[in-house]
Amino acid sequence: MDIITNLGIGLGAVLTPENLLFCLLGCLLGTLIGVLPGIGPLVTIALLLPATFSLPPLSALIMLAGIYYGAQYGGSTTSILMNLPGESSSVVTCIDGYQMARQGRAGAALSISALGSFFAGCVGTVLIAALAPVLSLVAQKFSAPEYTSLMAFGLIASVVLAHGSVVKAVAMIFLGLLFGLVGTDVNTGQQRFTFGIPELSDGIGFVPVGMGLFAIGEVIANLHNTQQRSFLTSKITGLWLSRKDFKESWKAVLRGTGVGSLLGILPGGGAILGSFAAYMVEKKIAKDPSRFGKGAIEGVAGPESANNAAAQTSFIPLLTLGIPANPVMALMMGAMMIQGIAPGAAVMAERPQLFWGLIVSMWIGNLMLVIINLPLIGIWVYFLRIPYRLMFPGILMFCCIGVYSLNNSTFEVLMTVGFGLLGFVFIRLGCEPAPLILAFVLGPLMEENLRRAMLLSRGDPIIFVQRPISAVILAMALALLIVLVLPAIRKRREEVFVE
Amino acid sequence: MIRVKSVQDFLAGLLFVAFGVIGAWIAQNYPFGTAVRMGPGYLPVVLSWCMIVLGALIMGRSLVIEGPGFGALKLRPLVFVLGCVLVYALTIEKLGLVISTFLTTVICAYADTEMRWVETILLGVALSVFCVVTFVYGLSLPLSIWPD
Repeated sequence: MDIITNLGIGLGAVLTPENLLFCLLGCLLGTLIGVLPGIGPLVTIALLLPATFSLPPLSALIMLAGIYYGAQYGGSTTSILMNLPGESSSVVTCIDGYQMARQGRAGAALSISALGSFFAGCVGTVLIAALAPVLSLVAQKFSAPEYTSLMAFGLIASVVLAHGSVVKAVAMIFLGLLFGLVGTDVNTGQQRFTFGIPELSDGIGFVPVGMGLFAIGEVIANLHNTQQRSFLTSKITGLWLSRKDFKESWKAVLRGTGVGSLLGILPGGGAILGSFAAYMVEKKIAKDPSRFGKGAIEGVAGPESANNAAAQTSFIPLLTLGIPANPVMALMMGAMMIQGIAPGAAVMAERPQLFWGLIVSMWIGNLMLVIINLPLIGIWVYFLRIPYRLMFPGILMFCCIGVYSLNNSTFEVLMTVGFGLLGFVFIRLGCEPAPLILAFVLGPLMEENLRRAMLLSRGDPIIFVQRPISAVILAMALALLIVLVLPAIRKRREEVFVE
Repeated sequence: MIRVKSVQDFLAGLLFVAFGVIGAWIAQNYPFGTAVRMGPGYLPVVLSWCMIVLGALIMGRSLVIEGPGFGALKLRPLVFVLGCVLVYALTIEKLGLVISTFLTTVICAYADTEMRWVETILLGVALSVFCVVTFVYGLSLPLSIWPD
């Protein structure tokens, strides 16, 4: 079996004291930021990016990946205990998880979310190992038109994630693409939107945009809402699941894993989409949907498994096609390029130790996370007692130092101020920044592939439908768009967000 | 008299139209090219126009459908949070990590009405020490600790 040999190579690469240490470090950090609201994997990975320059490539990637999937574990803790999502992907866990905690079943909710996540993480890892080689073969058939269609699909999928108005989310995509085009045009060397500023000729940095829109904008908006956060956490009694709990939830774990894995692979998908979809599935097929919102264990098991499965499988597009599926993956791509690795199908063939090592590390990391999260849960809850007035200066400080140390550039810190203001305005105007940031990352890639495709077809856009793979992807994108605009589905989507 | 029924949507639309107009206006100076050989101006112009259309659509909708307003604007968090990042940008190279971190923390804490002086100063000292230990000694980032 190829896959076993490959996993063996990976195991050999990971089982060194340093790599295990970095894996643990990533998982611990991920759990911590998952527990703390207001600071997410995006900011943390951006912050640690400069620190990984001096590490060997495998250790760097292991740690950064650990932060991402670790955050999925930590995020559920606050959702269940405080009705406060520590991570955007655990928003749905609040609905039934918090109700379970109020009924004195916090322990069961925490256990099922950790065990469900672990199961999903294992499946996700196996899926990457099994699918990546297949997909790399498919990827070899990909050329410019397919890449363009795939990215278009990803952008449309990201609209599904956005709260509120579809039109606004689409407008945010166009704005993101436009921001992505700032800098020197690769084909002609023309300076675009640089206003004669030399720092802009390489384009707007990803980190200032991400930190500004997500961290700084968020902090300002949080300070506007002066309502006190409650620190009355429910008591955790008994982490064991009863036979009934187990019976009710194992199918939900399986379904959540399936839904999450599938949605994670799609560009534009990822953990958030996975958890929302899994919740909808559970509610839809339940014999008694009215139990949902009142502490149904399936409502915790499904989404929690889904977000972790999706967090794992969202590595697939990056590792096989070189396309980041979400902003966190875009940062991972940045980390790989800094290490001199071009993400894409070639990684698996040329650097098997790195590729398989990363995959095996995810499995080991998931194992560590169950231990970090279940017996040690009390420690993490303790962190929640830090008041926000002490936390936000820390968050901002880390943003500043993270942005600055990436290139030792004060210009990028100034850009962060600008994007922070913009981020706050967007929040106030009900415009979700997630589609913008994905479009911003994909912008230059998409322009390049679009131009190449049009050159291939001599300017005839029919090439996108003539090529079978591209046509299928575009058809899927179109179906998604129609589904989004249909009034009935729109209403349901709003319902889910309102809950 | 036309009444804006959703101030939030109206302003959002206006923002997109504004970005679109600026984008299209600047990008008209770049060679547009043809569909076969797209010039550097092709996509920026197309994208800008898409944004103008969508922005206008959102603005139009705000006149018909009721929606939320912009909400009360508090200047204190806005000014001090953005201000502290600005101060960091201006001081990190000249004053070094310790002073810059301390200044940034104090200014930033002022953004919250609940801030307390003693606590803030302690936090500033703690963060300065933490940053020096973690980033300079721990991660050996090339940052100067004190003013040159």
